[in-house]
Amino acid sequence: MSIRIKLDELLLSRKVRSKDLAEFVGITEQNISLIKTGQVKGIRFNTLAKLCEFLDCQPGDLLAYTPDE
Amino acid sequence: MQNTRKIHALSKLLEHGCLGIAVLLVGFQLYFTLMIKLNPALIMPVVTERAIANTIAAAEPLGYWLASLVFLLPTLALAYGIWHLSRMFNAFANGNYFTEQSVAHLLVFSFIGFATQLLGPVVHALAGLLGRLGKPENFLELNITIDQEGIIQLIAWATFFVVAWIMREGTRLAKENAEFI
Repeated sequence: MSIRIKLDELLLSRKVRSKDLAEFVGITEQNISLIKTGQVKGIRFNTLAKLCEFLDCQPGDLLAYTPDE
Repeated sequence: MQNTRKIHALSKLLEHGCLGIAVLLVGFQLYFTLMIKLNPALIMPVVTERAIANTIAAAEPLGYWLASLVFLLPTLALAYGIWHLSRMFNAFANGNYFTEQSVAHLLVFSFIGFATQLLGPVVHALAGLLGRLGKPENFLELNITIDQEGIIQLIAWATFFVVAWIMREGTRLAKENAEFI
């Protein structure tokens, strides 16, 4: 997939746990894991807003685009 | 008893009920078709389409078989639709309430119901025509009749089909939405 979610990197840099993030956003840890591995079709704007709020970042910091080869 | 358990029990019952109805429907139709020729006096009092039944009973062997076959087609189609309904109840029993698969079964059933209702008058007319095969008198007489009850049933089936189609779109959208976190 050409859109990658850099959640793992941000969690590491902020030194926070997936469990805390899941609790704050209001989704399960399993869904956080699916977001990390890019196994979701999309993210709702309110989920994205919560992620940004918790990680203190902009949506652009979370998403990366790599052209398909 | 929890609702899910009630749904499971009821769906299992309806699944088997539908299969039984489908088998009975085809069985009765075959029985009536044979008895119209073998013992018309026994069967005529309970036949609703008496004019066509009389034509088939008096038909030449080739006309009889062709007319019977044409007459059997809507029943076979409806039995196939009921089998789909049975599969839908099977999906409900397994907890797949409104998935694309279960609604697809409902859509097939409603489409077959609508199509058989729509083509019913044509099938009857064709069966009557084939029943007169080999008989010169009134051979080309083709009567297509639609009564008020038939029109109401057609509207009901059409509504059912449209609702099933919208439900399929709804389940597709719900599935797509569920893939978003």
